[in-house]
Amino acid sequence: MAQGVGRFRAVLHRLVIETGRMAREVTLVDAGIGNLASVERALIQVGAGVRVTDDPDKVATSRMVVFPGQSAFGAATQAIVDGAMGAALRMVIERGDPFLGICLGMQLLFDGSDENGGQEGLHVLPGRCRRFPLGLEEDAEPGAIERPMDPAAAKPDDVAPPQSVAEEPLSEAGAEAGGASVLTSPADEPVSSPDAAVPSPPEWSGSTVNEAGYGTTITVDDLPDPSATLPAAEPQPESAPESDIDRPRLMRRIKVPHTGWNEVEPTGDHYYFVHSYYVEPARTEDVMWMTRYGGIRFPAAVRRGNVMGCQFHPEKSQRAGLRFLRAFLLGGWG
Amino acid sequence: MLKRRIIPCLDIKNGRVVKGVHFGGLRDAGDPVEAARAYDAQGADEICLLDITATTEGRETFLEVVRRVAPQLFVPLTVGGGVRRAEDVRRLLNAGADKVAINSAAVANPLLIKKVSERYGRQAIVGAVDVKRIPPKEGDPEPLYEVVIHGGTRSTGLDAVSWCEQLAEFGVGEILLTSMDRDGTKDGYDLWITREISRRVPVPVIASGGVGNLEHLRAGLATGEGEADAALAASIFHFGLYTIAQAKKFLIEHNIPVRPPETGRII
Repeated sequence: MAQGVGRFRAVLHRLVIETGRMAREVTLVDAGIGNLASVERALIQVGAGVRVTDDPDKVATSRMVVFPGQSAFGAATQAIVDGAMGAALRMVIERGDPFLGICLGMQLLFDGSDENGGQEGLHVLPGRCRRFPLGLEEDAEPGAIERPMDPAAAKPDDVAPPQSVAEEPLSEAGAEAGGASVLTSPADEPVSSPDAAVPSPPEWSGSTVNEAGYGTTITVDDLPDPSATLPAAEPQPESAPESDIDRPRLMRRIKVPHTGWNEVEPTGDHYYFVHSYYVEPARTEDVMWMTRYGGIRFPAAVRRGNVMGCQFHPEKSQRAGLRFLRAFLLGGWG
Repeated sequence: MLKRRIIPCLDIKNGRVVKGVHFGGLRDAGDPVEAARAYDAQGADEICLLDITATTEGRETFLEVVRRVAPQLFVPLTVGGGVRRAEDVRRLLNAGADKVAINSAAVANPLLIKKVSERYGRQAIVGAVDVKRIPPKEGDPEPLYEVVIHGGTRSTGLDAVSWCEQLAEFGVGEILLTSMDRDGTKDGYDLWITREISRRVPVPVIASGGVGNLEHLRAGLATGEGEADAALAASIFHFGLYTIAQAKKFLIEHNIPVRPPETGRII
């Protein structure tokens, strides 16, 4: 009896070790769009065996893949998406093996980007990348000027028309772009009656942003579109109500790229971000963590089945980043 | 929300930290690896290494320092000093740097910024700008600053604000702004020019030059004062006056959003 239990435990032990070993062999994809050394080092730090390869055949047969990327959509990413590497990445994903896209690697999982005149992604997850518009008010975040949020308040009917832009031909443009709530008040036009003029809570899934580039001054393009309809009631992580009523109205505008440590919801941990484009996903259920910048809420990490992505750089995010990578290795999100 | 960054900076000469780093727990205070690790452990948001040798042999030594420091860090590493050509940028990035700061060479050859930004991405290129206030004349509506190069020894005649705007257009992902009037004085950042550039330039601005105490860090970052996105400092951290954690505690108490120091096991 005791012997039987002992043998059983030995087998179990072996099984755990073998499974662990298999699960921790990671293929790091060298697609020529990022510096791999620090990602490799971070994976090793959390116990992975790492194989770096630029060979689509090797990627295709891998049982766990990390796909990092820096910079932007462009000719290089187009070549990946259209070429053998893109096919290999899709194969791994469709087979159900764990896959992590980092930064541009996450953005490439989606349908495409506005970057460089419109680029295609891998179409694994629905949604597109948009550029952070310049001129957004840094503090324009949900809760900054609102009362504690009542879910019913997010209904389109309650979106007050912006008072200061009656003359602007915004409605058509906004409706064309899919319409939605946007987040900022124009800097120079103080909101006269906060309660009435508060736009609906910014939502990443529906923000309309203009495509202003560097050097463009944004004036009123980012105002709420009165004719817009919001996506029907989506789960909105609760943010702690803040009492900022007495805050001085000194205002700062966001910088692009979004560079530095930002807090993600709902964990409250900080990760290092650097990117000029963010993902606007079509399905809320693909989003694991969110973060906000200039009133735009966007996915910090996404997940659908075996596919994961993070907009931040876990390899540059100290302990929090290493914990994230380790959880990916161990399948820590169920 | 996005947090302001605290960036300790190590000046490197002949492979050693200049003036050393004077706080406990280091076996060799002049070793850049030990110093960088200590800052990382204290919760620095980013680490900066500047090569102040500016000789050919020195550059090779500096590359070696970057190669040794980078694997020890899990925060971004910015390096600079003597970067002249695209080849220098490539070698520093390959050595493990995340961002390379370009100073005088950008003035001499703005196309260099465009070229390396297109090749490695905007996020990898920092425009380092040293500025000096021009002696005020009567009737000046506001202070004027010019860009200086080669460690402040040569004036360029470029207006500081317009130059930073141009750098952003050329493709830098950040501006590292150093006030040569304040550098080494411990009188605090030059808040006027820091704020002006931070408001006018669309990319993040790192304030540098003049920090003597924690209040200076606060002012450099505070809205309505310096408005920088990150604060770089050397001596207040080197001499063990304050740890990064103390600085962050002070800033949090004064309503500057910073990443709280992490504690506990590395993973």
